[in-house]
Amino acid sequence: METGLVRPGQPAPPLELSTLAGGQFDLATVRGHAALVSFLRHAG
Amino acid sequence: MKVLGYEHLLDEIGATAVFVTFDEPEAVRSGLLAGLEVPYPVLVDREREAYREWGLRRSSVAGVWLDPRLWARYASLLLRGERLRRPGSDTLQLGGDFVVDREGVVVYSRPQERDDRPPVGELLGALRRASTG
Repeated sequence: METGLVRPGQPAPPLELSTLAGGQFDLATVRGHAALVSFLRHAG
Repeated sequence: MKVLGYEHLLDEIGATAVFVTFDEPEAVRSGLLAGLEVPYPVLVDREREAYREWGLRRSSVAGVWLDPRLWARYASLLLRGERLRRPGSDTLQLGGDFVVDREGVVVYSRPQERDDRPPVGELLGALRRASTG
């Protein structure tokens, strides 16, 4: 379900996904550091 | 992926980066990431659940393909002798950039409107503020 755009001041939604390298990543694990989360367009 | 090449600045700031893609992993490796060393996690969201959760939308066909800036960019690449890559699975899905601070709060939000990305200086500035604020 589409939610509204995440805006400044809101908690980051959970982000837990497989990595291209075959591992698992959870954004919560980088808490304590500033993080850029960059969603890419198509791979072409 | 404009911050690639600025890893030393991210290290200085004490920041990190994560990239999210929705295409087939092999298409990502042979297309978008071909020839690139990415020292940050690249996540695969085939179902695009995270795209929806973060509020990133799909554009219209006209919004992407009738944008003269897209064709100008393609022309520029061709003039430099670069080959255009085959489009991925959904050319209408838009991306976006977010900066999350040390407490897990979003402090910068910049969805794409078309094939546009913020300047790298803007991203680094947001990361710096997120790291020190």
